[in-house]
Amino acid sequence: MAFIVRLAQMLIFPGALYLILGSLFIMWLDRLLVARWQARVGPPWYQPLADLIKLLSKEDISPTGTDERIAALLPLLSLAAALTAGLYVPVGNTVVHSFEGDLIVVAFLLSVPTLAYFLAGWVTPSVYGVMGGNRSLLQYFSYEVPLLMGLVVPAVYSRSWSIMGLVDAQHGYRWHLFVFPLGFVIATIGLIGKLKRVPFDIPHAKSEMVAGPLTEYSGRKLALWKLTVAVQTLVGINQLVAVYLGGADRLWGHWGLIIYALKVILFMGGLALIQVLYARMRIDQMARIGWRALVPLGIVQLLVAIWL
Amino acid sequence: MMGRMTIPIGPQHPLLKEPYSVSLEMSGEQVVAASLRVGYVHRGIEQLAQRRSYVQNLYLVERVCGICSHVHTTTYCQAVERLADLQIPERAAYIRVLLCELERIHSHLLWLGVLAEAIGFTTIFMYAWRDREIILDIMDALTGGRVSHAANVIGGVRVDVTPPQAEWLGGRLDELAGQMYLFESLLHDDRSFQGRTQGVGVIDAEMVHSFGVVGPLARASGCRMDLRRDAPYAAYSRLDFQVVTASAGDVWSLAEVRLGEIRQSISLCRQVLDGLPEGDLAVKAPRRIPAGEAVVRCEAPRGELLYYIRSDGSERPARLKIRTPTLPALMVLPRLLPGLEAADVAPVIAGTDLCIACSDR
Amino acid sequence: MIDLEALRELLLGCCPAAIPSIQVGVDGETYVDISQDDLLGVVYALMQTTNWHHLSAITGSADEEGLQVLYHVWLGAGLSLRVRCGQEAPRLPSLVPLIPGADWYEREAHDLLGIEFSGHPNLKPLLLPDKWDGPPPLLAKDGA
Repeated sequence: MAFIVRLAQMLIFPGALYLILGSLFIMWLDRLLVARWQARVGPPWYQPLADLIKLLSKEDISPTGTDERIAALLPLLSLAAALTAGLYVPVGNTVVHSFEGDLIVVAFLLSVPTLAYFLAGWVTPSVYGVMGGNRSLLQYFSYEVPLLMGLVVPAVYSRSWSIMGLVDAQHGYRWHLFVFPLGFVIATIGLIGKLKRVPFDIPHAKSEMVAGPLTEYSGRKLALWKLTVAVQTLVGINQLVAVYLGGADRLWGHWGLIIYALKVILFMGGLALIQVLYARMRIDQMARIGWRALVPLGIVQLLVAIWL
Repeated sequence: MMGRMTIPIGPQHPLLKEPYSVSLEMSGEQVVAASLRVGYVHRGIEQLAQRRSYVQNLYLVERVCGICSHVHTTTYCQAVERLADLQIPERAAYIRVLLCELERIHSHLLWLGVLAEAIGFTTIFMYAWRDREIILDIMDALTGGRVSHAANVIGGVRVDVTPPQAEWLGGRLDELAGQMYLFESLLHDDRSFQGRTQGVGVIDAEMVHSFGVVGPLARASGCRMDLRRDAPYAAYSRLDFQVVTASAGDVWSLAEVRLGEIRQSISLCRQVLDGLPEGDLAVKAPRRIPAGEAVVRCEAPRGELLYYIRSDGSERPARLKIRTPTLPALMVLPRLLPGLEAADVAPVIAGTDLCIACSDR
Repeated sequence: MIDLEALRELLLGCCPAAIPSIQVGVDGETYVDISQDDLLGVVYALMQTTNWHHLSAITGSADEEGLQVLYHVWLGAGLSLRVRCGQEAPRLPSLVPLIPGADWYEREAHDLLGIEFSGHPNLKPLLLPDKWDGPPPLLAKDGA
């Protein structure tokens, strides 16, 4: 019986189905907010779903010189990793499975799509793919470290390495945000870098790299890539909401789901606002910020956490 | 991994608004060499012009470029009017200035949007093009076309500005002037914009003279050349404006010059509306233009536009030559690119405000 | 406005053989007819002594007497130098060593009229396709 429940959780809620539909919703929200703030109208609610379905039905062309098997495997691997990461991140008060150390496991699983993204550029013969891949690797190193630091700080403070454990440690408004605001900022910037959103959308800068590593992908493969990005976004936001913003605040019981949803939506709004306010950075400027500003600040925050 | 690579930008590329091809040789993230190919949109306009009458050519030259169509017809008409010894009415001269300046504003706003898009600042692209709609609406109301106006005829203009129109126009210009604060604060206060445009793609004064760079590109490097001031045409000698220059010659200076010019153009438009003299709109022009030759230069949004017409006394020109201001910018571009980071290529190319349809003809 | 007296003196200094004619056209532009041998000398002298700003354009055109090439120059006012050459195998000295900005204008004249510019570093087609094998477009007769 427990097995059936666990399976349902994995496949439906808060597992695969929720992650996919929820990430489409988050994508819509993102596009709508960015559009409204740019004095445009924005897409209707079903747009990301329609785009996904249409893209899945399009012809899948690969230029000669592409390693077909790897090119087909990479998006599947990425999507699988992103969905698996979602299993350990609480949605509301539910989590499929939780154990000490799942914080690091989730961070690792969310990195798989980034590495696959870089490889995706390298298996195509396109110059844009290779250059975009180089940039994404550089960006990955510059932003993974601050993000991890940002995630580790509350773990050190609350002495728990499980995301659900961190949510519990924050019950009753003792959000880690209030204790470590700097850590929250570092983790958020790290997340923006990881998700390759503006101002860090350098690897797939449309005006320079056409579409970066994904330039030569189309049809089903591209659909899976786009879905992976969306799921990564949702899981990344969930993770930060759980670790810093108190998740569903166990205090609230059933209302927890609504509170949690509100937090996710607000966080997404914040990311959309940042997208609207800034130009894309140059890669050396990005690396400079990552290594000269974020990492030292992260170290400082870590020391504070150890001391506390 | 960081070896040499050749990156083709164009003829199809999201950065380029018109087809041309820039081939970049990269070593890692640095540009080592660049070469340029144009001619993808060569339509043989100069050759076509020799087979058409002067009136037909008026509509042909308007279609050399979409963004600066009015100044092309203005320059063409002035050349033909010199040959035929026609003096256009004052009212026509003022209306020509009005449309030229409105075109300058819309061209510069378009440029700002394209530059913003090139550096990933989509928000400013959307805002600039939204405000550009104000100008396009005005053009539509005055001439019937947003981009292609057919406002000039040989001997004057075809469109009139009635007092109610003038009042409405003034209101919309006020609206536009109110929006300019946003772009000016972008220039002066926005660190991400400055970070991508300052110190990038510097054109020095020596390049300006040896390549004949004109327009805002030259003025951003400190060169005070503006044909509206140096060789006034239409009604410019009766109007008051400043020539906007900057000193650094980088992409940021280009933005500074162009935003300054938008302000000046708004002021010029207001002066025209306030001081519009009464009179006819056009004088009658002959079908056969007397033999002779004429060189006319006008200040297009991108700089010095030169028309040379040689007439042999018949209904058709013996030679029509168009030299557009983008040509020197294209010649300079391959010298600006080497040494840049890959990410700087986009703002430099977008910043030079290339109009390939103009230069290919 | 261009100081015509100073211009006349400068030209007399550069072109001892043929005396160039100076006219001011209906458009306010000053036209000077010189021979191709004097071209580089005159341009150099203009660059050194007058208010030389830039070379605006190079216009080639064909008329009944052959080909003429106009060099439109901006000196604070407009000056156009006219050089004539025959229609058969036309050759002119290239201005590129003096003025790098003459590059594309000469390539265009080469494309559209078939004029060879000796000393030009890169006289490849600019506007026409690489494999253009027809006559220069502006030389074709009406209706051809």
